[in-house]
Amino acid sequence: MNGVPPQASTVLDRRPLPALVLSWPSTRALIAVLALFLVSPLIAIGSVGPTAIVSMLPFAALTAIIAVGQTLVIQQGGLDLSIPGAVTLAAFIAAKFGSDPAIGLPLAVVIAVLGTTLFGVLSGVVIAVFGLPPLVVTIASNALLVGAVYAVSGGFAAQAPEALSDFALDRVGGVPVLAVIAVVLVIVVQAVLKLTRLGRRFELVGENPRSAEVIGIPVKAYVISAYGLATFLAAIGGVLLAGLLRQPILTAGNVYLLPSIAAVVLGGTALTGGRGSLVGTALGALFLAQLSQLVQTFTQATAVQNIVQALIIGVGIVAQLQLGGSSARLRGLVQRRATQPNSSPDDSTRSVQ
Amino acid sequence: MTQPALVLSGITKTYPGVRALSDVTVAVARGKVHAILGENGAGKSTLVGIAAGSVVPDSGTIGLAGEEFTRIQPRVARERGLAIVYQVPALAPSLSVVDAVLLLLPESKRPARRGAAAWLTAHFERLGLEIDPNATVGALTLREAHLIEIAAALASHPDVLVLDEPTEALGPEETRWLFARIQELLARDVAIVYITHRIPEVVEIAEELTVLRDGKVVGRGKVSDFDEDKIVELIVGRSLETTFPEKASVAAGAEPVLEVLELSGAGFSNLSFSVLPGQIIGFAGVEGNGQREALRAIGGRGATSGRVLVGGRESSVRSYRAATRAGVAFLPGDRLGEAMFGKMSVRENAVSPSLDNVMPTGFVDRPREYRKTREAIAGLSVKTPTLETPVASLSGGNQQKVLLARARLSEPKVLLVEDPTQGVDAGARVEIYAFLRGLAESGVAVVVLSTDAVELEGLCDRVLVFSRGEVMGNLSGDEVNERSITGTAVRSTATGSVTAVSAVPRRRRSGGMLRGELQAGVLVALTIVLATATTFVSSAFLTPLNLSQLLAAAAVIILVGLAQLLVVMTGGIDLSVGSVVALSAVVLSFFGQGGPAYFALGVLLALTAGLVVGLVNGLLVTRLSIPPVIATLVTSIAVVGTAQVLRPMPGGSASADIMTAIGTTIGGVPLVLAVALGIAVLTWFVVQRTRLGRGLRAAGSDPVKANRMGVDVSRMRLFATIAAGVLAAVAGLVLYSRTGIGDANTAQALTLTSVTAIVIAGASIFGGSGSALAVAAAGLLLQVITNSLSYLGLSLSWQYWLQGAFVLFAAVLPLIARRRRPAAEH
Repeated sequence: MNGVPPQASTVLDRRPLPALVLSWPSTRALIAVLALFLVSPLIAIGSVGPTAIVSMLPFAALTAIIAVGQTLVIQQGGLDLSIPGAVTLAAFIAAKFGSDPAIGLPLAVVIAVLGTTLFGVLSGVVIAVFGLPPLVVTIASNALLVGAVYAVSGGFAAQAPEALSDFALDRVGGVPVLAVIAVVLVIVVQAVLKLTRLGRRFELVGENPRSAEVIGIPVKAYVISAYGLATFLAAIGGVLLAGLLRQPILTAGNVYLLPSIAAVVLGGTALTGGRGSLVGTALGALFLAQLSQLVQTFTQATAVQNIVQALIIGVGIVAQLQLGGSSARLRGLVQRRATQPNSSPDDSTRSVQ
Repeated sequence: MTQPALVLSGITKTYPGVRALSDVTVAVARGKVHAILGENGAGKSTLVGIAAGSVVPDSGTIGLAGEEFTRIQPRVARERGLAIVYQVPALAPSLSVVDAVLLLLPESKRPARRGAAAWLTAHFERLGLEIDPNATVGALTLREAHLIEIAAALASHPDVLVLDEPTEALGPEETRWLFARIQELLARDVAIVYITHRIPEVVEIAEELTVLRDGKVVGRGKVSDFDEDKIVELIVGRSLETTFPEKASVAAGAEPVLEVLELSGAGFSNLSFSVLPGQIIGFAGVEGNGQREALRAIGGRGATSGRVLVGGRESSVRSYRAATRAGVAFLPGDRLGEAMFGKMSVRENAVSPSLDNVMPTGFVDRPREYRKTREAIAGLSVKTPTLETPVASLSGGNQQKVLLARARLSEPKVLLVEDPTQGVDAGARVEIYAFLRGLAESGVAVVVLSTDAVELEGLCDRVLVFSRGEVMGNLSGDEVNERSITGTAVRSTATGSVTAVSAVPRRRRSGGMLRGELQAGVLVALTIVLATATTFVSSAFLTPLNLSQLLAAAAVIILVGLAQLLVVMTGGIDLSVGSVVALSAVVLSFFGQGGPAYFALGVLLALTAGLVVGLVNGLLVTRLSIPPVIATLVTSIAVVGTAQVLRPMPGGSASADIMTAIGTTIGGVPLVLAVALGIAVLTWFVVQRTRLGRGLRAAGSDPVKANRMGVDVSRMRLFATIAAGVLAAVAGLVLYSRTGIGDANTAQALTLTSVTAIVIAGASIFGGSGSALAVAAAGLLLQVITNSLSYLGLSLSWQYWLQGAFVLFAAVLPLIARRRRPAAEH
């Protein structure tokens, strides 16, 4: 041990670039997206044509916007189950108040986004201050949000104002405006996370809040802001959804919960918190939207679409989780299977005797 | 000679980055005490963990009771006559003492649950212990938990007894008591494995010894062939002089860097000391005497009174943030848990407390980061492939070096280190000692807490020995030696009875059962109050029709609540409950128009559907390690999709005969409610009174400890999810009996309701406890609330708002109450 030369010169800064890029989880997500787009025309011709893609993009963009918020929460080791309530509430406030000439659309959008965000801040405060499990807290705040949806809507669907739908369906140089918004958002948030001190501290808190606290980082502020931002983004998604759907229904937000989580997992952000990739999340959202487009060419029944999507998402999550962990984990899985059948018959024969 | 009772041969075990054991062979003879010695992290605990089944070896065999195993389940090891007392008692905190002991005993030695408390009281009495069998384990002190584990081990009449540092938490009286018990066991030809780093104890009771260093056997033989010095040398691996750096020579009249004046806080009081530049101060004492609390308080956890001066300036230690700003760096002993950022790189860890310095503009500057990282680890010879390697994959020694480098980079005035060499190999220890000394010489006040008296002797200029929260010995100069350190620690605890300081607030409750019933009682009372109030507003509330509707609807909530309870109790959550209810009702709706036999077939199919969903959930969680939320969310959507495919539109009405039959009421009480209550009572009985129930609670309370206690945690989780699936399916049947129609879209809200029910029933949302009776009462209350709303003229919004608010309040209240209590005790 004494014969080892000084390490400083032998320790590399990082692995060679190709190996580094391959190890990124978002690289896996990119490969999955490319594979899906390559396979799509073989399954259904026209599913990758310009019209198909332009009609798919707004939904991918919405999922991406909402999933960016979910990524931030998952980076803090949490999970936001109040997404459905937040999306629906913001959609209804924007539609209902926006149609009211006394309030006007701009003010309605501000109320929709900020009002909804308050619920997220509430979740964050309860989680950070009392240390309650995020699941239970966000289930509860979802209930509060749904209650507010009923209060705002009176139980009926709302009609979004013309201006909002026009905006949501607008295109910039042929590209849906929602896609542009999503891309800008992802780039900005990714840059803040990876290129600033603030972002680094956010990742440190997510990786291990106790360690972060010991070195003097104000952990609670970061946790609360994660939930606040998640609800903020879900609310923006909700406002845009109101424009896209024109007539949002009371359960409009429900279909965004699973995709928001699935996009994060497919994008390679670990569910245990810490480092996250928003580019990965965006790719995950793109994958999901294209997948649902593909399934739609076969069946119009939403029920079947649900089943197929759940199955494929399940497989994707399993694949990303298992590959994302070390290969030892994969091996462990096989070994466990191999040893289990050996030991259990042993036990049963013994107890029979 | 008879064959040995326990043979471990060729055992190798590797953890990420560490070879904990390599090719270790130990044979333990009957009727003898075999001591296993070594420093912290030498592999002692891993070795006995392997013997007891809580650790799976990479290779090697375990020979026990004449059989050879390549791996052994904890339960099997216990059945084969091996009893173990862990260093940190492996008792799931939410269990009662009697439940915990029953779980620990092998089947052949276990008394019936009825009368077990009396049996245990008698057993404790025989041993001269005074512990309430109905106390909750989490409320015990470390010392009591130790004694309980020892008592349980004795009750199992083992052939092999493994004691892992048993005297660490015990006073001298109790140590003598333990040694007397050991003599009794030896007379009965029991083999005893005794792990310790207290050499006098080895000389006193052990006949044979094995010494481990860095996972290898470095010495073995008869104790009588060694003297104490020789044993120490074997353990440490070299003479003490070459291990430790020269001590300081402090210039006279130097101003202290750190001054602590009459500091008091939770677990310690009246602490005063100062550190001069160049000095290293040690904190010592028997575990649990306030030394850790004191160190942590200065580190930033805060104190209730007293002052801390850093470099002559009054400094706040109100929070870690304030302490860090004042120049106090604290390195906790639990590296993975609260010191490192395990999955992040060496670089990110090294610069983490110095981000203001490393990123002065607020933006990332990679080259500067690499430069600073290299600057930080300079001279520490950290062995890592690259600076981007996740720090958790390094060996213990290298992890600690990265942490020390990180501390030095943040340019602290005071460095507090807890267990600096825990899990660190002998080579790295030398470097760490030299580093700490170097840091002290550069003017940083260094305070080291260690459980290893030899380490304190070699490293420190002065040692404070803690006892019951106060400094009982202030050793300096020649007094700083192992003998006086341990001597002072033990002597000072000898006066009077030992009352170890426990970090956990002491809460004694007589029986978890009673508490559950109390909660149930409160909920029933609330229900009655609310029902009465509603009746005053509108007498229509009390009509038989409304009541029977209400009670039948309550049955659905009770059943989904019970389903959720079982899953949450084992540490999971089930978001597919509502979907399973829908699926079950839809399946049954295809059988509503035939005869009774046809309908029964439908019931069977519906239940099977629930069972299958539960099984899928369980396998996803236990086999594929998917987090429960995600697994059940995915199945939830697939299941509701299936229900929608089966019935795109609501339909499948039941025949009048069937509706009448299943709508039967007995004295105004719907049959379905009676069934639901019956299931609740049955669930309560299983959870509270059976081995299965103890296993379920232990698994949710603390999976690692439960595994050590011999509970098959994944089997418990699988059982819980399957039972939840079936219970949700039963809820679907009840729902169909009320509506008489299959509708795939009605039941989604029940998932929320199930969570609400268990939270207001007072079940721990962290797993481990909960009363099925309270859940039944909560179900009743929730339905009365829903029903009352329309009579009270409140909108549907209130149904959601009340549920949400209920969950938040019910979950937050116990936490607030728990926070208040320790404050009030002070």
